Amino acid sequence: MIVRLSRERTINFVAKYSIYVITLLFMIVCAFLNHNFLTGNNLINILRQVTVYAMIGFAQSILIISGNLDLCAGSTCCFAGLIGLFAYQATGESLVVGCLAAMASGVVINAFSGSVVAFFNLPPFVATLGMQMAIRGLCYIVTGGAMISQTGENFRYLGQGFIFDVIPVSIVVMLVFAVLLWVILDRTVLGRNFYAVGGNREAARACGINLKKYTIYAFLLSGVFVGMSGMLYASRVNAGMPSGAQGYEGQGIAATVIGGIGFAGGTGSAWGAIVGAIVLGIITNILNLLGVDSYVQQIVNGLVIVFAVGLDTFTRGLRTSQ
Amino acid sequence: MKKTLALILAALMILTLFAGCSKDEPAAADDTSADTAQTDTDTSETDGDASETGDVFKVAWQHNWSDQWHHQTALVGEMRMEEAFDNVEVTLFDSKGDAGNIVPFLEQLIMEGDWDLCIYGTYSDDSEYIKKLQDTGCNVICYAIEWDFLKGVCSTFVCSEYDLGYLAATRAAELLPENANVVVLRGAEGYSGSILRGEGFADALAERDDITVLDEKFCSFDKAKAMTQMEDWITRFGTDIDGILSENDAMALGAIEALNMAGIDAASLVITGIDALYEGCVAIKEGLIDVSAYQSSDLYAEGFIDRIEKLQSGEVDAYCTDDMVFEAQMVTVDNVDEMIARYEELGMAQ
Amino acid sequence: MGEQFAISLHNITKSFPGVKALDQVSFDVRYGTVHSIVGENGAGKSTLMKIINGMHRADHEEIYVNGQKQEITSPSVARSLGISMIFQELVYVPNLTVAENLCLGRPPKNKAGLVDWKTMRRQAQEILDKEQIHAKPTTMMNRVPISDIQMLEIVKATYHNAKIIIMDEPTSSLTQHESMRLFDKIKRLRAEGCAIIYISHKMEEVFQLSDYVTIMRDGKSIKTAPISEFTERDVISMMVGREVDDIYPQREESLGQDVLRVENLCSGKVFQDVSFHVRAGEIVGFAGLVGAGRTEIVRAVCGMDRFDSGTVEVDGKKIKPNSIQAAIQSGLVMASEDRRKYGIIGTRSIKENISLPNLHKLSSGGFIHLRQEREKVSVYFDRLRIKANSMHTATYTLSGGNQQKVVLAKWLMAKPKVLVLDEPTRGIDVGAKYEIYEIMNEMVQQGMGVVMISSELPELLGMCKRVYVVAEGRIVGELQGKDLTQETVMTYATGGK
Repeated sequence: MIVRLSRERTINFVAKYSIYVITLLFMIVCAFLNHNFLTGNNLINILRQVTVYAMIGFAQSILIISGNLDLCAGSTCCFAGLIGLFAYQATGESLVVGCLAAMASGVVINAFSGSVVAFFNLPPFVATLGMQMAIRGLCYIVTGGAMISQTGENFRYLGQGFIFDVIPVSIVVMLVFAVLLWVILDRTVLGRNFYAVGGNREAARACGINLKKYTIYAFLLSGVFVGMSGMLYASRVNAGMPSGAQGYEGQGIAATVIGGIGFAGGTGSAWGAIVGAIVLGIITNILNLLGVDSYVQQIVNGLVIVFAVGLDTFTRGLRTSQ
Repeated sequence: MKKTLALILAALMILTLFAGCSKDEPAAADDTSADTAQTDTDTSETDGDASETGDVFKVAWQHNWSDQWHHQTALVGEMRMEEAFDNVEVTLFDSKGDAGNIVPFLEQLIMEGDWDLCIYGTYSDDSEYIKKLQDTGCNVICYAIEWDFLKGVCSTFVCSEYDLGYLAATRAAELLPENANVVVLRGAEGYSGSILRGEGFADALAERDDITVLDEKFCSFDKAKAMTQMEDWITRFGTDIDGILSENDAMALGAIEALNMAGIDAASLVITGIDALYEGCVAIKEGLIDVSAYQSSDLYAEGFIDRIEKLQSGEVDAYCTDDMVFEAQMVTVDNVDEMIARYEELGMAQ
Repeated sequence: MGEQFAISLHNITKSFPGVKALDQVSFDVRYGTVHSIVGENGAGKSTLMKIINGMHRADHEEIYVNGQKQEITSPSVARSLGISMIFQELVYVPNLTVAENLCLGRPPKNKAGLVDWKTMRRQAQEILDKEQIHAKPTTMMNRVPISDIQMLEIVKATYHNAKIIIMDEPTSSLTQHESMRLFDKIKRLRAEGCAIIYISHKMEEVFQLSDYVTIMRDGKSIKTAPISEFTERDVISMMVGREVDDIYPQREESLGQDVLRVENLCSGKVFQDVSFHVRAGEIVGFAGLVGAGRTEIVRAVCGMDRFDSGTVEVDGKKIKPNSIQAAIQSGLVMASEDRRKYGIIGTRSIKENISLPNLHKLSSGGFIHLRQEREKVSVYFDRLRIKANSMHTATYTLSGGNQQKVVLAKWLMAKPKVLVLDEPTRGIDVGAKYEIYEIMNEMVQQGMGVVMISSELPELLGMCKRVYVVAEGRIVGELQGKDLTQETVMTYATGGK
């Protein structure tokens, strides 16, 4: 027993941290090849560029930890951004109202997905896949198919603006929500129960946790994060685009898995999504600065994700064989 | 451990922020007028002339690589710009069709600070970024799409989308028989280019009062979608269809596939496209497509070359916002050979 | 002594990185005997068997088979020496027929070199008749009951002239009746002159079957001798390494009021008319054959499964049916049979597992008081003597016994009035078992009532003074005092009166 433990522990260690080691190596190489890489501006840019992915990553974290998944996150992000924009324009350009409206629409959409999963026992994969298409259609309906290029005076503030001229607003927003996520997952009964339900459904049920309720709570909470991500996205693009944020749910999932949140549920910390998003952002940034061909970039992106998910599955196999 | 790692990464970034602050700081600059920003900086980038890092004139061009016309235009532009000058280096960036990649592209250029010309397309008001970019000595041209809010902010090079539609449809109106029925393949809903092309089609067709538009559908400029749509139309209308107007060649070709499968001779219909890509030209030569209106990649390239010349000679600077409008062109069976020859010359004939 | 041993082991040593699995193990096995190997988990039994079977090579070994020194480099070499092993996880191909499985790899061939199906089927039928197995040669293996498959596996082994048969925990998935059939077979094999090496946790079986026993501990062979020289207590003491006075700890019985009262519980065809009660300070046993319905009954009582009619009262108050929450809140908690599936959340730490159903006591406004949680949990962590690096270790790394302790700690912390334990010591070492019995005693001495389901009769009789017997979904007997004997329990359980 002791024997297996130490071999397994080294494998676990290597698996968990190899992605960071590889990223670090990439960073070192790039720092030599491109003098701009390690500048403050570039690093700030990276952080800014990953904010939307990270927010969606937060949303996915909550769901994956509790044993669910949301393939609709990209469509929801887009829709929430549109609703946020409309609310902003309708209330004389109030960003606060826009944010609230965006978060509310994220919650409403996820309430629907969550109910379908909880009450009809549909696997989250299937339910949210369907929702993905439906909500995308809704995006086109609410905009009449058109793109909205005129937003308003300060709509871009969230996604493009600065506090004190130095600190990007989007990064602040991301950090605020990261802290919120951490508090919930680490310090509340709600968070603890999410881990329990994701870690072992039956055991959680045996402790008196209502599985249906918690599925819905997870979807509702993640809806807040997705909704806000939509507002960030729309503000960053500074337009209302019904075709926006396509594929972002995959980026969010990739960020969480790379950040160490196991796909099987029940493990991982709130910081996982940020770390994962940053790693992905660094890799994209490096490839851009080195002028790597776009097609090759797509291959690298795909490989990184396969690598990370593969490692996660591999180490999970070791763990559950105990 | 994860938490510590995240904190370390964040701390590293914040530290380098302060380290990087000692360098030129266009991003942290104020948002007041361009004047104050310029006099503070100590790099030699202000006048927008060539040769900052060495003698290289760097051009950045962002477009959607998966759009055939755009990618072709970019490749032609890259080739001709680099041929025309010794010191011009063109870098192509892929937007991947995601509007979310536009701002990061601009941020990267601003951060690197050593670009001389930026060619790109946008859907939203990027004025603030454009101004910052111009402050680093980089001229900005928005191409293939025009926006009111960009007037006076940066240069816009476009070809009239309305004319593209109008020209092609006028030719179709000349060729269509009496009491003709047509179907129309549209591009993307809400896309300004599609809206204008659609208006061009409508106005041209309206000049004859015996042409009926049986149906029009948006097929996202996609060949496969157009093929499916055409199959349905054939089922509904059969041989009643006399003509097909399409917002691009790809969809027209898709419709032709559907006709072939249904055993209808495509040459007997009046079919129009837009873009005049190589496959479209071949189809024109074979008599399948009757006309394709297009915006010339060569004209765009010549426009960019002209701008580079003016920037390098100092005639204009990074803040130049002169616009250019290109005339819509047309390829028919009469002049298709020249077009095909041009493609062979460019090495783009497959 | 001059007699030729079937297998003679001298100074078998094997190390894996970081641990010495076997340390100079030496003993002899004689033909015509059943030789048991006993020891706790981690004592080295499996490793040793794998070496004899050719699946591992020892670092240092001297193995004599039939008096000749042998190097057993692979299982096929072992087989050629007459050694055959029946694993705990049976090895067969479910999608092939009985006949094909019996001849796996070596089917009878006709003159043309093709498989001779007729002979294969005939040979298979002979075996099936001899062993009285109700299956046909053409039956698919996955439709044959486990005990028959096991029997066939033994036959397969002997068919290929195995004279030394190793059996690893063979009765773990068998019913009482099937076990008896197995023992008969083993006795017949012994009479035919085979040597049977028998590994088991169950003392009763070991004492019933064996002629010789080898006790292993920490990789060493402690003692080998005829079974008649030992008592059960001796064996356990040597397994554990210290003097064990009682296998089951004593306790003072002082009973109070009913803490649990179940009346006329019915659930479709699963169980009918179940009524029983448990008093404060009592450990009540539930006996019965596998499949009699005991687990189903208690799961319904504790709200995990639905039931149709009946009442459950805790401390005199009726509790809402079909609700685990209601049960837990009234003080009725249950530790399931399958602790991996229902008991612990493997990926989470010990601390989190223990506090999970108790979070409402450790939090306010939804926020957990982390320091209070650590303090309160460590009380139980220490009290139950859970062996782990710290309470922040993930539970999947723990041994079975420690995992069960985590489950008990979790429910103890809930300060229940009634605790239902379904097979609490299954798969647990002798040493850990005793600790769990002690914990159970402690709990009832503090006024709790405990219901214990167990398939090990000695355990039930050792811990409980009152036992309900369940058969086919009904309670067929309530035994205590002089009536409470193994024979009586078995009689009731099998439907007699």
